[in-house]
Amino acid sequence: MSDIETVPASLSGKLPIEARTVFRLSSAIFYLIGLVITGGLVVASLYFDWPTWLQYTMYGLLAIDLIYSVIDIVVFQKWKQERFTYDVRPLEIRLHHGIITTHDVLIPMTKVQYVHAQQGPLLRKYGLQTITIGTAAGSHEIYAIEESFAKTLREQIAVYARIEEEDVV
Amino acid sequence: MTEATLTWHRLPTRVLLLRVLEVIKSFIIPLVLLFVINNDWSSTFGIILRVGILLFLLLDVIQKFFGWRNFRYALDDKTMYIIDGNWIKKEKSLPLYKIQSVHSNSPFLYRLLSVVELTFDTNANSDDASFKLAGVFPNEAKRLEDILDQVRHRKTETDLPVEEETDTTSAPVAIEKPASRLLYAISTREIIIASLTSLSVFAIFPVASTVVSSIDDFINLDGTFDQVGEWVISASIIAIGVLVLTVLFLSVIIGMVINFLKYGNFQLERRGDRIRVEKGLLNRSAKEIPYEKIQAIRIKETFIRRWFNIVGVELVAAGTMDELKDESSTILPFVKRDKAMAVLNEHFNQFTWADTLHRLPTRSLWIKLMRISWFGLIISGVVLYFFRDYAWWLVLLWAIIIGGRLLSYMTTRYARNGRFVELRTGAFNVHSFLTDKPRIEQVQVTQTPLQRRFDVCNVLFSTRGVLSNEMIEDIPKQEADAMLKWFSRYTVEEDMKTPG
Repeated sequence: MSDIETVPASLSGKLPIEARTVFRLSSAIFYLIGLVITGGLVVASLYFDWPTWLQYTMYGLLAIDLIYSVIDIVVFQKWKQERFTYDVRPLEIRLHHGIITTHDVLIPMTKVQYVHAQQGPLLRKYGLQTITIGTAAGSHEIYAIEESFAKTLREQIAVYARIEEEDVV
Repeated sequence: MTEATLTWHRLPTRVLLLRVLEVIKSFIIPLVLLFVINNDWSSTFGIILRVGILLFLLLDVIQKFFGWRNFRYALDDKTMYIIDGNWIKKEKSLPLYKIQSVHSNSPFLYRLLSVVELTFDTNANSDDASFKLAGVFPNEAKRLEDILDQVRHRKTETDLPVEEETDTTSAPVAIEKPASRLLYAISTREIIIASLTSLSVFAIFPVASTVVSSIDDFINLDGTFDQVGEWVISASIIAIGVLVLTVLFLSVIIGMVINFLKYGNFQLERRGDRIRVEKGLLNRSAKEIPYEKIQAIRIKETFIRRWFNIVGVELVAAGTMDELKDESSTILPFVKRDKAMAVLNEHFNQFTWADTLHRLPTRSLWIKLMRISWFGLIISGVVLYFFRDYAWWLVLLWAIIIGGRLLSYMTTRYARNGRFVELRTGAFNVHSFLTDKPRIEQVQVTQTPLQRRFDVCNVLFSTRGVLSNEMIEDIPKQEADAMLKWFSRYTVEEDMKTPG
């Protein structure tokens, strides 16, 4: 988005660097579960003497899991944090995100129906919150932003969203 | 309002009979199987099963009886009250002004007993958003609808000065008794043509084979059809041709009957600021859609009907009603394009159709052709590995895949036209989607790495209501940016003329 020239005050920014740590931790947990399962399958295939091709398949799965988890944790989760930007203006919200496929979302403030904040244990540990912005057509998340700022942002969106621009039911 | 001033009504007594018939209808298959085809009381298990089913039926009927006895409704000049529930009594009240529309529905059993089912819809987002009077006499239905009309009438009078701008322009004299005006009624000719141009003509073959094999499970046909197979192998081409033609002819007839039952006596009416659709011969239903609930209009063209310039038009309406979810928002099932456009331009003129649409650039075709078809690859792999004899069919498969992509490139068009955006998408079946800026909830632009290389992207428009997302694929990035800019509230409308 390049046409910011006509725009007054806006709450815009990126995700804090701590968000990256949270993303990495949570996907590490996810892959760890995957590793335990595939590791179990490998052990089972050796222990119960499964056919050779099946053993190799299990090794293959384990390898894919390992390699992909490294790439995901090192690169993708970094991009997930780096490539997320949000821009909350009095009349609209713009989100830009995407690790590989980019998404540009534009939501008029009048269409915003609710703003939620939520926080899992990981996010709480790092003092972050996820904000969910809901419209009649679905919801969007601002993944992990600093707690006190999240509060400001949420309240600001709530105030902005009360502006009545057009009356379409 | 106190209870004393209200007159409570029950649904008519014959609704009780209706409920019993409904219970029997829903159990018809096990009943026929157990008591007609295979009426065998000899084994203990058979007796338990049959007695059990009868008991269950009896309980259901008793429950229906109490359901009928406990259900009562009442109306005063502002509110509708309903008492419902067998075990847990529920009292509901609904302010009349909140009722957006009344749908009446009369399935075959209802018509048999000459009652209708009325559904009052508030278009709110909860389970209690609508409720039903399942079985009232037509004159009672008329009385209720008249009361609602009066309420609406009063409401429009009181807040006339702050009426919505979009509507007052198109409905100048809706203040008096809302005049109903017939916009379209289906003709026999249209139904016949529609049946002839429907692909379902060919559906008879799979349907027939399923029917035959499932009959075979019950009654031992014992290879009667194997003999048919032998006959087909030995018969002459002419005989087979005659057979195929007969089957096709039969299926056209069946399709026609189905279409007559479904769309027979289809009527599109305009009553003040509401659209009313009535259809069906056996199951007759009437749906109402308030004008301001219309979020978008979709014109559908199927692969065959496109050659005959026949289109279908449906409304995307905001609402949570089941009835709005199915095709009943179809306002014109199959009519000539000119006729459809005439109706749309005259009576749905809050939406303006663009004269010219933009096509995709050539690079969009290349990217469409370059994408890997996983579906095609997997099917090809399976066929080449396991069924090599049928490999020739793969040519057809890939012809369809590539043809579909070519068609999709050729049919995709788009235009921004003042506050309207119009998208035409699809490959074999094409549909055009038209909505305007205030009704769009959000716009999302996505771009995959491959698309980045070709400088194109996808744009998704969402309105409220069901089936209301519309995606246009592989349009130039700069065009997508322009759409975002167009959608932005910081862009003044006058600046956004359609580019050359």
